[in-house]
Amino acid sequence: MGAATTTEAVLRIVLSYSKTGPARYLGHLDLLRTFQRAVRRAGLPIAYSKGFNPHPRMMFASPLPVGAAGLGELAAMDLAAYTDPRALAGRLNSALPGGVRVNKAWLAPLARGTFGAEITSVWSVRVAAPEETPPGAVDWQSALAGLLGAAELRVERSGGKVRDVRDRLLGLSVEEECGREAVIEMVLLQKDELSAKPLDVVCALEKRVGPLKVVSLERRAVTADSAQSGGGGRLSESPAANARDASRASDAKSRARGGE
Amino acid sequence: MYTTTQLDDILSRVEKPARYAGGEYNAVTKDLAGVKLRAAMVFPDVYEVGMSSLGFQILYHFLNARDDTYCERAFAPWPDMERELRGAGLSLYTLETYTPLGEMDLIGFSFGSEKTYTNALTCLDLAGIPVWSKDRTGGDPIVVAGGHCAFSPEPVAPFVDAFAIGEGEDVIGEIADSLVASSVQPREERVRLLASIPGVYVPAMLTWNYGADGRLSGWEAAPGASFPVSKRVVRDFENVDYPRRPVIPNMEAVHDRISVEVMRGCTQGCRFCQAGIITRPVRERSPGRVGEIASGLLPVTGYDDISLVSLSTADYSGVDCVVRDLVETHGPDGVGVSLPSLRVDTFSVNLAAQIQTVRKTGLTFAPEAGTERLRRAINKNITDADVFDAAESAWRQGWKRIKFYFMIGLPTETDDDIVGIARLVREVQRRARAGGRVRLDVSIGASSFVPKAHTPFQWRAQASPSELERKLRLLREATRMPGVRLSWDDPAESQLEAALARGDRRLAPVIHEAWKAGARFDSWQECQRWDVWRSAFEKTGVDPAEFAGRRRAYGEVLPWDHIDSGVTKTYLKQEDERTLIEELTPDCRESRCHACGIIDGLMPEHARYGSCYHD
Repeated sequence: MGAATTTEAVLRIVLSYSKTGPARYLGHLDLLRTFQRAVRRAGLPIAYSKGFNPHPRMMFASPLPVGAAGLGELAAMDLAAYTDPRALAGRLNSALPGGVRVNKAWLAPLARGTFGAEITSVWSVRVAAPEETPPGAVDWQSALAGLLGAAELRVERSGGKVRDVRDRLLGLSVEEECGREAVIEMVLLQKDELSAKPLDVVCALEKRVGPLKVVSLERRAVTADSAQSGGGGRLSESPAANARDASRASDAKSRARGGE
Repeated sequence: MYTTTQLDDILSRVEKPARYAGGEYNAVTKDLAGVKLRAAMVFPDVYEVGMSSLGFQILYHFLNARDDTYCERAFAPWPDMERELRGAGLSLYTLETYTPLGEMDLIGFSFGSEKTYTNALTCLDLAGIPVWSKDRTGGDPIVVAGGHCAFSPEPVAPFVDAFAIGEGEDVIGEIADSLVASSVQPREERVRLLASIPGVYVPAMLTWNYGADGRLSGWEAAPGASFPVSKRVVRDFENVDYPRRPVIPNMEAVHDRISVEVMRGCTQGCRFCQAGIITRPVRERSPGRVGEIASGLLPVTGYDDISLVSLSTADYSGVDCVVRDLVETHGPDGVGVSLPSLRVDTFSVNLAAQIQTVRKTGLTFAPEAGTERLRRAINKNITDADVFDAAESAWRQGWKRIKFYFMIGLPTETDDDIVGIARLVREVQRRARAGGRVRLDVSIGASSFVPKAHTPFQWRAQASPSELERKLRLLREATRMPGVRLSWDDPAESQLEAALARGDRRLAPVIHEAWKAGARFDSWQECQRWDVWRSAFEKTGVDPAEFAGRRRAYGEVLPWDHIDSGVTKTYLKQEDERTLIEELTPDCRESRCHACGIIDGLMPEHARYGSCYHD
């Protein structure tokens, strides 16, 4: 860990990472701590926030529920010095605990915000009907079609508030059917701090097909509809491209500054 | 070995599944092909507590440093997890490979508190291992226990095959060697062979005799065993190995930081303190070595806090320069330094001021008693002026909150000593107001005195629970003033602790009975069930007051007489007698050798303190 010369952000790196195996049981705060420590272990030049109690500039899109796996989770970190994204991913991976792995990293322009207002996630949810259910007895297809055809999807949120999240439900399909189990693909939107959650869909489904047990919960992908993740999963191919990205990043930064 | 799918179902239902999931950074994985000994260190408390124990990480490191041994970890399951494991018919398993504990060759418990005994029984039982040592057969793991409680092991002796007395890293290798060499022998023989290792106590090889009064009258040693068993001590503390890659907990632990031991032992000589006696002699690490260890641990842990640990870090002769060096070297990388224990003096406050640039947390001091008289009696060498100076130094440097620890029920304590706590605190606040217009918030933590084995107070009676209640009421009334908060321990808990801390083997059925009736996590307020313990004592016909509340005669056979801490009974008795004349015994590093026995008995090659310490 070399002496940090500066802690001011010069560029942002977006990470697509997975959280599987034992790491599924890390709560969101545990995950933040895990990344912060991994960054220190990897000796990355992380940028720190200003103020009385500086903290490392890392951002995470939409926390996963404890126990759920994530295959394409999104995070971003601001660095105080240029680091090749591919090398950063490698260094982070050797510093992360079992089950947390960075799959891709790419440069993005610095901006004040994080992942924007709209986050779309794709889920694979394995559900099971009760043991006595004969194979094939549940018509998953039409149950899902019924949910999509409904005008509203009413869910209860904290404080007993009932909200309609039907427009946050973008797609539903049966991925796999096996005996009394099915894997349901859900495409869900988080917008303006309101989202449809996998368990909302399962609850609504139960009203149509009877009691269900969630066997496993896996988020396959998260996409943020904002400029910061504009790389869209692209890894910069060449050092030249990286340098271009970096210079664009610092342009964006000075623009952001100017606007402050 | 369990598969994750087997565990997923129960983990999805427990409160904090990360406790039981494993996969941490620096957790050791090994190819089992070359492994001859499979061991599990089992901490009889929750993950967050066990992962914070330096001793636990040390033993894990020492065992895994051997090519022929694979050591894994397990922790006491919280009641929700215990229920789930039982419901699913699963055993308690190791976090490294999800292997049921019953498949281990060696189970190691670390007992730092008597209130974790019931949890150890849970761990054994959940692994299908008979809780009574005598019921274990053939392939059952060999259960070894260590930690400070091993110095008074009898209440749990019937549950444990062997105790390691003293500093574990000094003996664990010999235990592993012995178990590897004896792997084809019958279990009973393997346990018997452990007794030939210095510092290892095998309870099956000692039989107690009882006199007509029902009290211990002596013991008989089985052939091949000799008593007392002397504790093990690390002689070269400077160079002894330490966890090079400590396992980083996956969830927030009690201590989430680098711990570097700067010193072992303590020569303050407080008469109530067990740790101060059983960890003698004092050994220090050089500042250079401390700096080297800290620098090596930063990049492999990712922590941003270095804690300099010992029983009294302000007494470490290099503390000033170590703190300065660490802050200079690592401060620019955002790394902080912390000291777990402060002395009551301005020197300590100035140290704290150096490292705590933001006065976020309060400062904590332990004057232990409210009056100078009582402090002299317990050999806590602090005057009222020291307390005022330390507090003044704190508020002058910006602290607005101070915490004081006191004990009630100390030997020779009068009501005036208790009211003295309130007087002392009031004066501290008055001075802050008058001298600096500071409104100082004071919190007082009051715990009940628990006499411990191997201390000058080992013969003393503990005040009865009702007397402790009365003293607490008095303290509550006396400290009812603005800006003062008082917290206290339940006297019932203190009596249980005292009975378990100084009991003989007759306590084992009590522990077993309480555990069967549901006693778990006895140090956790939300779990405490004194009714269960009360009926366990009644059912087994054991009177807790016999062990907690009875003044013992100096000549009596004590249930820990077969364990030698290196400090002589003559010295302890002499110290106890000085209590009555309220006579201080100064720190031997600053005055002269008081002949406690540690040097002559255990470490004749070790420098004698006092006159030659500063050579």
